[in-house]
Amino acid sequence: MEIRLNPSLASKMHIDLNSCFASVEQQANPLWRGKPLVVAAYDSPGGCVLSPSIEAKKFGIKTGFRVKEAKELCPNVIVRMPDPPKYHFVHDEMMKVFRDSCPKVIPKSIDEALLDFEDLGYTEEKLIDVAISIKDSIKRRVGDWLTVSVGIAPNRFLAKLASGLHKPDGLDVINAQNLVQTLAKLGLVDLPGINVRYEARLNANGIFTPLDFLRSGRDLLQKQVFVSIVGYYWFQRLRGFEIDNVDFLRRSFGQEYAIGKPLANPRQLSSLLYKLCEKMGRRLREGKFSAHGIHLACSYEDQTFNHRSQVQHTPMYSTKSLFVSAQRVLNSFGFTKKITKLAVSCYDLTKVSSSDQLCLFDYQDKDKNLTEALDKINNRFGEYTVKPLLMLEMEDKILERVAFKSYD
Amino acid sequence: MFEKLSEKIPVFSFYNPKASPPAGGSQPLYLKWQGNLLTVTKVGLHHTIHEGRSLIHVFCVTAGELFFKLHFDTTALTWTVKEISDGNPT
Repeated sequence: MEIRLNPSLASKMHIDLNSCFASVEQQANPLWRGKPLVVAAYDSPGGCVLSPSIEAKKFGIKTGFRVKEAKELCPNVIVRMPDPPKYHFVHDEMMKVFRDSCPKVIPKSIDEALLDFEDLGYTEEKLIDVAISIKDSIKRRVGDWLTVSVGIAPNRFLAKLASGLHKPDGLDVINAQNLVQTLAKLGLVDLPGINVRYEARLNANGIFTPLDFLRSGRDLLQKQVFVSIVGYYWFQRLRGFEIDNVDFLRRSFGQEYAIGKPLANPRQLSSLLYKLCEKMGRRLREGKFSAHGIHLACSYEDQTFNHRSQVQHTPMYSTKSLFVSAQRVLNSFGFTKKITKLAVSCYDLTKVSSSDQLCLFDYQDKDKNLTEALDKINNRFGEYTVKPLLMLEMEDKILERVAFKSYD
Repeated sequence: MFEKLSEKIPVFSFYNPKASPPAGGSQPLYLKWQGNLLTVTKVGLHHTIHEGRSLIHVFCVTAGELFFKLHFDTTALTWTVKEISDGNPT
């Protein structure tokens, strides 16, 4: 059966900073270069490995391992906790390098970006030259220890796939001429977006390899495998047609905290919850949003889980209003079991503007004005300069994390 | 060895108007640590952070056999060592 592939020139370039957090730590500290190092959420044995260095990966250490598992594989591994300002700095500098080469740069995460050269009409050879020049500029302008893997293809999906073919420091092109040969070397879970559950679903329909997937008809994928429009998207995506150029709007803000020592004490849990709400509220207000919905999720020591949402009639803007709603949900769960993880998020967002409808009750305006004044003080003198009594002795808990967000 | 601390130290810095980042601009050349004058051999990373409205320049450098994370507070004009390491895990 002949497969109709996208015959267009490759115009999308996906760039991925190799072992991002670990490489940046090695860039900062030259004494750690060439040594196995992991950046973990916590340096305690149960801390989750977020980024192993290239040297640590050679010992079999992977993202998601616990620190104690990493140390079993490599007793000399260096364990560092994240230092987000460094990663934000490297991200910003990399974006400057990308923007010098391409007018349309789309940051995908802190360590990935997509460069769209469609309007420039470059040939594949020219794109390869640009990629080599970007690699060189990153070493010169951002850091000599940093390497990136680059993938070039006619659509975003294949460009991302190409960027993962040879790590670290790879440069690969996927086009209509080599797509079949490239997919023939891969497994289904090597495709970005295909996890073990999708793999099982594909297997159940007689699709065992990426080539089987590519050769599957649109009806099979849409009506039988995915039973939705998602099947059509995969049909197009695999053939190199662009269907992922969609911007998603922000729908929620959330914070979570894994509690080192499980807690059932209502006062201590309230303190943690307040700090989570403060961090979430600061981000909500920074984005000029208010929220109507609050969602709270708790994981318990006995491996059970509870979560609940509540929608409020009046929009929540201040930390206090977010906290009161979240605390109400927490109280409804009871305090009989020890909690290991607390997650709060707010949703049903609306943009806040000065032309908002005036409230009948002026206490809401006072609350908003007070919150904005407190935010200004904390912006000027540092986070938590002014804080409620509940947050005393909480400075070292719930550290800053690198959120997945638009870094534009 | 890896240690977090907050100790103000003497630092000699140099400004080169012709150099371009990351190697150029203003950067520490020597620092005095535990009575020894150490030459900064490499600036691994230089970035900035804000503590309230104070702009802090963070220099991650090697000097002698050690790594130092230095904070230069542009409001107070002070140099502070925030981290020190000999490159080994413990």
